[in-house]
Amino acid sequence: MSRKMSHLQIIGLKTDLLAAIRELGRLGCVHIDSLAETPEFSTSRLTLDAGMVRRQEELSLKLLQINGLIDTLGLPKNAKPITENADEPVEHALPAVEELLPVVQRLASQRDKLRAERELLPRFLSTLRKLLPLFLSVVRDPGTVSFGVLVNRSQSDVLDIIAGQVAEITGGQGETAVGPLDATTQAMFIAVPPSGADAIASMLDRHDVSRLRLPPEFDSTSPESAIASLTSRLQAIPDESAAVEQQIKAIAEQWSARLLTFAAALQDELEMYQVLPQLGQTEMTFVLAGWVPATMVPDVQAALERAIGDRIIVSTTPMTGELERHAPVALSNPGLARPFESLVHLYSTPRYEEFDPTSLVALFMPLFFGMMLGDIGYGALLLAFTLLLRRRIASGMLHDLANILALGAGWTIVFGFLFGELFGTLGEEIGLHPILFDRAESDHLVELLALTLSIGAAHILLSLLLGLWEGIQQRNRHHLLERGGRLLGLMALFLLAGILVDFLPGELMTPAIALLILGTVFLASSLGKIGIIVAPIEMIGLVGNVLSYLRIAAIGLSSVYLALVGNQIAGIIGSIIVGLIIAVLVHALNLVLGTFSPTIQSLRLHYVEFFRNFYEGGGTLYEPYRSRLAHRE
Amino acid sequence: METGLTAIGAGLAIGLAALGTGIAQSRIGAAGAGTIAEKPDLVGVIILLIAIPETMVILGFATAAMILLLGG
Repeated sequence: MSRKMSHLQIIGLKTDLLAAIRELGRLGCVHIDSLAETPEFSTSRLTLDAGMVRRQEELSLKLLQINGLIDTLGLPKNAKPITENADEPVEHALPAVEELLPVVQRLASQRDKLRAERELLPRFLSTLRKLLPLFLSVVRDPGTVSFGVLVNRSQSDVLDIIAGQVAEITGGQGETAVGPLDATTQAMFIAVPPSGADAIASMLDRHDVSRLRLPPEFDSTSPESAIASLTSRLQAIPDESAAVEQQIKAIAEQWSARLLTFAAALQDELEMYQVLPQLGQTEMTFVLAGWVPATMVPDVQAALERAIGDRIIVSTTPMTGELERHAPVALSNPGLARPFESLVHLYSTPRYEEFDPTSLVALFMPLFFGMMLGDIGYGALLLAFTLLLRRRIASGMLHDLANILALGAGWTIVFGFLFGELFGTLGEEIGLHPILFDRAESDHLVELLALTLSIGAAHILLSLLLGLWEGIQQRNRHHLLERGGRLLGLMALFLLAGILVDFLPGELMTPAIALLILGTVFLASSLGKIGIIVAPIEMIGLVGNVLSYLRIAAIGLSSVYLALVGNQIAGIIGSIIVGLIIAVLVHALNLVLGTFSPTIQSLRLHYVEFFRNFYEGGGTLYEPYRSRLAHRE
Repeated sequence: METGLTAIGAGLAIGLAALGTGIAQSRIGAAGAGTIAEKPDLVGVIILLIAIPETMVILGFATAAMILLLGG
């Protein structure tokens, strides 16, 4: 069910605007409406002045810098700001960040450089060691500048051209040597006097060949010394990296609380500026329209009076039909049903005053899930897993999913006893007998199909009754005719099915057909001119809707037979250990499929077959404006 | 002979329905993958849209069951 909401109107002086918004953020219970959606306020939209825009830009830049610092320091993005320094104004954040930024940037740059060296240096050294004989074959005077060139063997004739040009440019003073690097690559080592270095570099650029960038040490020492120097450098990198990481870690520990607090505070300030254009203004005042749960109106009034004094007016607007259409919805369901609210929102948020189907979904979805999986062993494993997951993840969508699956697991165990299943047919080995019937037996197929069809028919009947009740409440003639027609059609279907299986006397055939025709007529009149063609198709569609519940039987049977196959394969294999491994793998696969598929199919049955008869949705979710700092969880 | 034909009929009923479902779901899945790449929030809706054509294979299963029960 949804909470009763009150429409608020807050009018205050512009000088108190920011204080009022901050107080609302601290309260965290007012859903702010855009003024465009409240036409009764004939004021102009509040615009940000130049000072506010500049402030917004400055805060955005600072937030970017702080988020960059948080990323660089490796602080968890979703960590909650810590309570210390919670009252430290945003102004203190700005110089603190200016002080920290260059230090962290320098350390990050050092860390990246060391990482790059650690990755590239080994490959570079490997290449240099392979080419060492080549380097040693060239006689070099002190001060000689060295170049390295690598080409594919298929293009090695370019090396002859380069050698000729080196001799020409340096007047015969340059030296070259060519040798293989590997099966596909030829290397050339060039040593030239410093005067010819630039010309040689330009010549090599013109030839567009791959250059082997030789380390600066090559020009001042022997190749062996240069390689030894690089090897020492490689050995020193881990210690240097560790020292830099240690410094970064120390800064992270010292600053994490403050940075997270600053980030939250800046985001609060920025969100405040984003909210302002939703307000209205006159020359001296601001006007805010919003929604709050009816029980919290006195809290809002008291808080704003404390913060601003008597310079602010908080009043409620009487609810009209127009306002109700825009009212946000705050669902309030009992604990067991609350996780299912996210599934209802996934389809569509209920409109204000519309029937909230969450409790019904909470009742039927786990039931269908349990009917499909229906196994004591799978249910127990799933229950254990979901309870563990609930403990690890305190809130959010995954926590809700864990709760939903836990309920499903409970029903799975119940139906496991009803169908006598424990990891498929293993239950038989320990003397487990079904309380209802063994659905793996082909003799009981008709009973299984009848059970699922009955449940489906009852589910749809419930949805039609709810739809009819809603039509009566809203005095909506169209809904009454449509849903009434479908209800009569369903009752006719029940009668016809009962007559066909000889459960009901044949004399009821005429009343059944009369009901069907009456239902079709009602449905046709709700659909307008095309009703005469569409209504019979819709009635046939009703049969399809009921038959859709056969998926409960179909998916259940597929789960049983997969488990059966796993057990039988394990039994055929001669070795106990191998058989056990195969059985575990097949049952694990079956459990994963048996968790995913029944969840989706149960949900699908609700969204398509159940909701269509009474639920429209299209409402707005209640999302109160709240400060991140004030509402740490 | 009759039992064999009944079995073939039941197999065709569910097999062809499953084929139709597979073709429908492959197209929805491909479109859904593109949608999720642009808007990850829609993953729940897309999974449900993919599940909708399974009615065809369920009706195929129902037909196969009827063939086996009433014909076999």
